[in-house]
Order: sequence, then C-alpha cells, then structure tokens
Amino acid sequence: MKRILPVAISAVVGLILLVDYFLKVPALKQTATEIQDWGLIVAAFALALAAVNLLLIHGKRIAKKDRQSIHSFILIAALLVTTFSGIFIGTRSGVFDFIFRSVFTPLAAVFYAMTAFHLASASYRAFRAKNLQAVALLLAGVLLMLGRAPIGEVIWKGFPKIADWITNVVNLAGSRGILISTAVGTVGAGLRILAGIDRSHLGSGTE
Amino acid sequence: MKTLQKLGQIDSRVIYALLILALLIPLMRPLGLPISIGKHTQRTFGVLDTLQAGDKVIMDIGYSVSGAADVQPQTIAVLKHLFGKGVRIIFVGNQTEGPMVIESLVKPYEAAGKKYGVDFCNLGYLAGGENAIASYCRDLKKSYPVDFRKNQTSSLPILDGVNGAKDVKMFVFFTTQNSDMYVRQITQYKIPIVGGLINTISPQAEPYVNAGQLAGILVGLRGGAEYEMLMKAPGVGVASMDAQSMGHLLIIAFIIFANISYLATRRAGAKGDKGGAK
Repeated sequence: MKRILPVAISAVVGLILLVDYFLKVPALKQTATEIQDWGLIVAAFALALAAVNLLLIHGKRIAKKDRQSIHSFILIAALLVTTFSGIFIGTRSGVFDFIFRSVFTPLAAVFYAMTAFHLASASYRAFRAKNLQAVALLLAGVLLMLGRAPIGEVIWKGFPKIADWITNVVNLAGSRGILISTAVGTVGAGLRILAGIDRSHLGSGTE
Repeated sequence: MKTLQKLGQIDSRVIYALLILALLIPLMRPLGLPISIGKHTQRTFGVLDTLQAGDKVIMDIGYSVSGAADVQPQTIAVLKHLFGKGVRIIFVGNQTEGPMVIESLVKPYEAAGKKYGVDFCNLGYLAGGENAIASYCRDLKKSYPVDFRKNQTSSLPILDGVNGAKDVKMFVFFTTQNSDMYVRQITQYKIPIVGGLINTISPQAEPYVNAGQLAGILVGLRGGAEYEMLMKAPGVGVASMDAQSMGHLLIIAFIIFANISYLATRRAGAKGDKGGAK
C-alpha cells in the first residue's frame, strides 16, 4: 500500500492534468484547477520551509561559535529584519524600500556584474585554438561578440550579418533539435512516471 | 619568443583593471557608436505598436534585481511605449523580487498621473513558477484575490471583464529564465506573446519565434538599446552600448593574446622536441 498509493496518486493527478490540457473536458476542468491551486499552495509552503531550513542550518553554525558564525549571524539578521519589516511595517514602507533599494539592489547587481570579470578572465584562459572544435567555438564566439556590439559594425558591416547567420541557421538548427528531443524525452519520462515505472520523484528510484 | 609566450600569462587583476577602464570610460564619455536596428527588435516594436489606447495586456516581470542589467532597459523602453499609447497594464511577478521591481518601474508614471487600478495594477508575486503562470492565466482573480498593495482584485477597474489571459490583447514577459514555460502555458489562449530575454537565453527562444509561437523577442541590453532608438528616446540601454562594445573588444584582444602565446609556446615546444631528437 505504501508503494502503490503514491504511484496511483501521481498517475491520477498526472492524467487529469494531461487530459485537461489537451482535450479540454469540461467535467475535469474544476478538478484540474483545484490540483493546480494545491500546487501553488505547496510552492508557497516550500518558500516558508526554505526560510525555516535556513534558520536551522545557520542557527547551528552560530551555536558552534567558529570563524564562519559572523556570516551566519548577518544572514539570519538580514532575513529577520527584512521579513518582519515587510510583514509588520509593510512592503511599501520606507524601511522595506530602503532595504530593497539601498542594500539588496546594489548587492545583487554587484554579484551579476562580477560575472563579466570572471567571463573576461575565463575567456582569456579557456578560448585556445587547441583543435578544430575549439577553433570553431572560438570563431563563433568572437564573431558573435563583434556582430552583437555596435563596434563590430563600425569595423566591418559584415559582422552583424555573420552573427545573424550563426544565430538563425547554425543556432536555430541546434536549438530546434535540442528542443524536440527534450520534448520527446519529457513525454517518455512522463509516461514512465504515470505508469509507475519511474518512482524517483517519490524517492524510491526505478523498479 | 618569450615575450609572445608571456602574453598568455597576464594576471587576472590586470584583466579586471583594464575591463573596469574599458567599461567606465565610455560610460563617462560616450563614443556615440551607431546602433542599427535588428530584425527581432523591429518585429517586436511592430507587434507592440498594434496595441491601441485602452487595450489591456498582462506583463510578467520574471527577473530578479541581479539580472536587471540585461533586461530592465528593455522593460523601461517597452513601458514608455505602452503607457505612452494609453495601454493598460496588469503586472504580475514571476520572481520573489518582481513586485518591488514593478513598483520601482511604475513610480515615475504614477507620479506623472497614471492611476493605480485604472491604468495599471501590481498583482504581486505568485510562487510556483510555471504552475503559477498556468494558474493566473486561467483565473487571474482566483490566483490573486489581493494585489501587492492589499486591494481586493475584484475592486480594481482594470480587471473588469478580465478573468484570465483570454481576456487581454497581449502577453508580455521579461525574464532571465527560459521562454519555454510561457510558450507552453499561454499559446493555448491564442494571444500574441512577446518576450524580453537576456542574451544567453535568447538562442533557445529562436525556434519559437521562427514557428510564430512568440510574436517577438527583445534580446539583451542591445534589444533595449534598439527599442530606445525606435522610440527616438535614448536611455540607459543606448548609454550602455558603448561600454559593451569596449568590453567585447577588450575580451577579444585578450583571446587573441592568449592564442598568440599558445601558438608560440607550442612552436617552441615542437622545436625543442626536434632538437632533442637530433
């Protein structure tokens, strides 16, 4: 029963949603809607669970009183101040606005901006013409960079055309292939789950 | 030969310092490089320009603050276009920071006289990713009984007669994620879907544009800059393009240095081997 019930629930839920999506059976509409709403509630609870998990993990680290404790303390303090200011003072309040605009926004922007520096350094170290495949990757990368930035067009009018060709022919063919094969794979994986052959989502692996 | 080989051993800190300069100088003293309009931006502008005053659209803000650098200029330019035409916008957030990003985007328009609840509304964030999109597209008011500003959505005039995606003229999204989930969930409502994407994700969206499932896409910072040019209102996108150009040129220069060094080292190695064989 412990094995069959979860598989049966997965199969029934999956079938209802599939039939509702593809066939639009009026009798199933309400049930499908309810199931999707449950999904939203579970997702919302997952967020709360993640916050509790964060508190537990970093609470333990603070209790250890090692070098990393200060980081965990800052994280928990930030989490609590942001959460309570949002809940009790309001998300449109000055405090919450200050946290979002003056603390969170610049920090998040810095993290994203840092990737540009890592990318520059990584390109310098990794883009080496070691073999034919590496040369193809190198050329495509350089041509796209020149074709997508205005400076490329200033240097030579042909760069944007080459970049467009790479995007519209080479990339499109590859992306379409990946997309279709992923879709077919997803159908296969879905059928395995519906049939109860694949139970990895229940934490019990494949039979 | 040794000098050439040393080109491949430049310290990361030197690369970082030069990149900062390459990005900062054009931002402070713009070069004014010409920006041609790409076909995606032209097409997207044409699609959005078909909207009339009073038309309602759903706009999904699916990017976090960290990804804003690439997508926000597009969002700002499109908002300027749509609000300028009198289009009414129903904002939803697909990322936890979405509602706050929306508040910052609409602030200047609200100050200029656009009315909350009439010209636009911010429904807030709905957890669940693709499931959330499916849910609010099917029944907006059930998914969002209360908006981000704590109003009952049933009391918002902008939502009169709007029960889901089938009741709006268009669906517009800006995201740092894949466009797949939007295509999967919204195509069934037979409304045009327009997406603003980051550079690295856009290649995956090309098949959808080619198949007509996406009516148009804007690609990265350049997409935003091109849209600003079409609007004849240069903004943050155009201002950033010179910096991007210089950044790209510097990276290409470093790649060339690295490969000259690599070839020189390989040549020296081959000569050494021959010498050894003799």
